[in-house]
Amino acid sequence: RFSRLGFRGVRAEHVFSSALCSALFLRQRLLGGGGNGSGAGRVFVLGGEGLRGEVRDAGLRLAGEGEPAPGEPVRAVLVGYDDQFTFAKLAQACGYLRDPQCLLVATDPDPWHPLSDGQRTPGTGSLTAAVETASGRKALVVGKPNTYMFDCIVERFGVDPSRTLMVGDRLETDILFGKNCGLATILTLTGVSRLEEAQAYMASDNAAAKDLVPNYYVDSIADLIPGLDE
Amino acid sequence: AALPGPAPADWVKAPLDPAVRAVLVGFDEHFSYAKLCQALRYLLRGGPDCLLVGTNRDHRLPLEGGAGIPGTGCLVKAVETAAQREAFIVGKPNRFMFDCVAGEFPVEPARTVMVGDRLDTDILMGNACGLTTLLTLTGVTALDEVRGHQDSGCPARQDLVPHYYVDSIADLLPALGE
Repeated sequence: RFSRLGFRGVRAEHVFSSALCSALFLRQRLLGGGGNGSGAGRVFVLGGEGLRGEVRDAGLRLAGEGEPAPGEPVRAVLVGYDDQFTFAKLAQACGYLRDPQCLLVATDPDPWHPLSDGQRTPGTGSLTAAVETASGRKALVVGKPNTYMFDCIVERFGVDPSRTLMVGDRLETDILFGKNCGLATILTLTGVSRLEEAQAYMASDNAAAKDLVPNYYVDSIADLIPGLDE
Repeated sequence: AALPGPAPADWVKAPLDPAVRAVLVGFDEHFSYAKLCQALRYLLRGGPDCLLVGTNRDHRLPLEGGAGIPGTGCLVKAVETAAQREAFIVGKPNRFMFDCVAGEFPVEPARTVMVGDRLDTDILMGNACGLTTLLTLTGVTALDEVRGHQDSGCPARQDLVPHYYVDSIADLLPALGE
């Protein structure tokens, strides 16, 4: 997909998703960063096969839908993008969260995602809100604007923030993330956020609003590609 | 209606009912992502012309033994978050329900007692409608919580304090028999 868009030399290990980083986060918290899976407990995942695969690849075991096997406590509920979300899964998650030792983690806070025809599909943020309300707990959100994803990247690749540009289309996550990590930021206008929204944040009296204002903007990420080839 | 395919990209192609002018969120044990998706489509299509209404904001419906099931409030929050707008909640503490009752029956607030077990819904509504409020301690609320509000300096929190309390609603029955 990256090469189709004109980016050459991108390999799998260069791609960090909120799903991958959530699995890494859970591995750290449940396995202490190393060791095997025994005794770590299981993870109840609200999400698709991609997210479930990342959790498995991190060496963790998944709780199935329905009753857990005795003796293997569920130590974390992970909320991701789940287009098969149901009331029953919500109730099951809440059952696990009655244990205060059970973590509540979300992959990202996005309330919705744009579809190609201009419509919107509900995001992880809306499902997390349901779980938080039912359980009375606050989720730990791994994805942007939390800086954890940047920590994952730096640990593997030693990136210099002062020579790094963050490109994104959502002010409340991508641009704030860039600001939190000390990166220069570019907003592309092909996605979620409108230029007027950036201007409104810029004009706001609220000090926190300044952190959502990008350093630069482009109409499209394609505008950057000629510059990258040099 | 049956979903026209396995994924959201298919679901959003299904035609919308042109007559829909409100999304109403109540207790739905068959709530699903697909329904959430559909609710979002109607709210985006209609904008402010499509109402978003919730029956109540209950977080949990308690079951015996301390367990509980998610309440309507969770589903309302999911829709509110996806649509980035606030629902109009008809249920307590909104006085709408009292107005419905008073519209049908000759109820005098000064001669009416509101009995309930939740401070932020039952008692708050009763106080707001000028009723005498009675808290029962068999449900959600403990007396410490009431004292906390009473002792706080905050005027808004005084609205959560009932006039009276009983351990159980059964304690009232002898008096009602007269």
